Amino acid sequence: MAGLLIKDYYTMRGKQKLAALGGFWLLLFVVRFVLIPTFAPPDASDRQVDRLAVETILVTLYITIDVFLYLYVIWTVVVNLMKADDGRKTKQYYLSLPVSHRQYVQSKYIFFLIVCFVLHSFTTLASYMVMSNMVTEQALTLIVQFSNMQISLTCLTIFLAALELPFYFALGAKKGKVFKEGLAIGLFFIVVIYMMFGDLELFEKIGLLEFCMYLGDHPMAVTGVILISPILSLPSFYVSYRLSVGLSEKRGDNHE
Amino acid sequence: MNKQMTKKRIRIYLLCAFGLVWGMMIPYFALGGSYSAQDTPYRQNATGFILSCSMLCPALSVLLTRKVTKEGFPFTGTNSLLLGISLKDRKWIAYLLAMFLIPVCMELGGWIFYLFAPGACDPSLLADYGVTANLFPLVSLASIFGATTGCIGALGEEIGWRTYLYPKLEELYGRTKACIFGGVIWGVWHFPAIANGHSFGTGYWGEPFSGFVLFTLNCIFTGTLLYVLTMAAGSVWPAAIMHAVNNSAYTYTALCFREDAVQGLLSNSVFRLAITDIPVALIAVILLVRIKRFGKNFYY
Repeated sequence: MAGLLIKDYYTMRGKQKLAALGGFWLLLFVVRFVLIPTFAPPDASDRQVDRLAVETILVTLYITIDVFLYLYVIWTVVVNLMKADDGRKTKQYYLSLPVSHRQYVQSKYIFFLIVCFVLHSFTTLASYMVMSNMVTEQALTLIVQFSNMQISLTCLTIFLAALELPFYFALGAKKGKVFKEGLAIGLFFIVVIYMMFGDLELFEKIGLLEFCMYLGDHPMAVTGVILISPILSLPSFYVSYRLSVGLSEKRGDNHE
Repeated sequence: MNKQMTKKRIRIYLLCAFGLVWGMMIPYFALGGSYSAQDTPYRQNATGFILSCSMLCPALSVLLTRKVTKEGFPFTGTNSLLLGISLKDRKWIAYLLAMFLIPVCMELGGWIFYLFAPGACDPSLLADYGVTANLFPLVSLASIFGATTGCIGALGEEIGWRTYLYPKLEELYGRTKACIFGGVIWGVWHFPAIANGHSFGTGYWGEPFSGFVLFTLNCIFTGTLLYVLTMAAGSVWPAAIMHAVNNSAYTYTALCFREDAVQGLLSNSVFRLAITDIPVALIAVILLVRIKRFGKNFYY
């Protein structure tokens, strides 16, 4: 198991990706502790507007990086994880060793959970850094409420992977993308149909600040989402794993 | 078993752990940082960030010590970082205890406190958090889930204390003394923060020395629970989860506490902690007494 996980770490270029995470951390650190005190010192009471502007920029930068990382994981990690072995026929090699289909599938699922944990931990620690020394109420509301939804974002990522992974074990890396492509096409058509027939004024009313203020005014709704997210996603992930083991054994050594 | 090498490794680890954290906290607090309620949000939030960074320092110290003393970085097995997870042989019980034991003990401790100060429990204070009493269990559960998933800071501490220092102390002094000495060291490590308002605030009776003593006792008891869990599960994760839950979980008794309704000794934070810690202390003392009996049954 450890060998399979280490193999996935190297094929996924884990070092480079951790270095990229470090780069994002450094960017946030420089903005938080160098640029903001330079342009809007906290003790200068005549610079409150500047302070609000720079803190809002920092929070927006954090949220952008956060959402980008989650989208990156959702969009690329699963497909790269499966493509790496299928393309090079390394799966056949590992299955010729004393590695069962169950262990092979298990390594993929555990690796994905490790990726989610690392991502969740990075965004949690980054949020503490961003929140430190924050003065303006609006910026603090934005970051606190967004951070409260972090667990739900992570659970959504896990849930989507639970839906996607069995397709790869059943159909292989090339055809396994059907779920993701179907989801993307479906979302595209929903957006197009809404743009054609829906209420476009909604986009004027909904903003990040309004959404975070709504979360602040409805703490029980946030609590409910925090509770339901792991209850839905983790059992789904386990069921997906059991399904994938069966599909992988059924598919056997058939490769594209 | 090379005791001289073990002692050397402990010295290097403590030098790193104390050096990193005290080197960060003492200048920070000397330059005006604190937990005081009179602080601006500016200083309070910065204190939270400094603490979060401090929690990662024990793990960093372990990595440095292992590198310097060529101990290696095994993830699982004997003398490892204990990062593996196994739920077989009833080890899943350790994970459940990690999530729920401390909140249950904290609630019990809170109700014991309210036996002495019944007027201090004011459920109407829950409204300040947007919660009603009958929905509070959901809020508590959500805080436990949140703490469990966000346990990276606690993991940083537990890798240092429970997977490295405590086993090394056990090699030298046996399990019971390892829990006591380890708890004392862990407590002393917190002293700069306690001297500036961590856990007890400021203005309490015997500040800061009573805070030092009580927090050290708390560390001995909590550290024992954490170490027993680590040994039972053969993994650092239950201890990390329990530590995170201890730091972050909401309890009914804590949120309903009306501070201005208590007078005399009970208004002092050290006495409040002494009373609310009774359930954890009892469990820890029982474990310390029986810990030698667990020796062969622990999967470690």
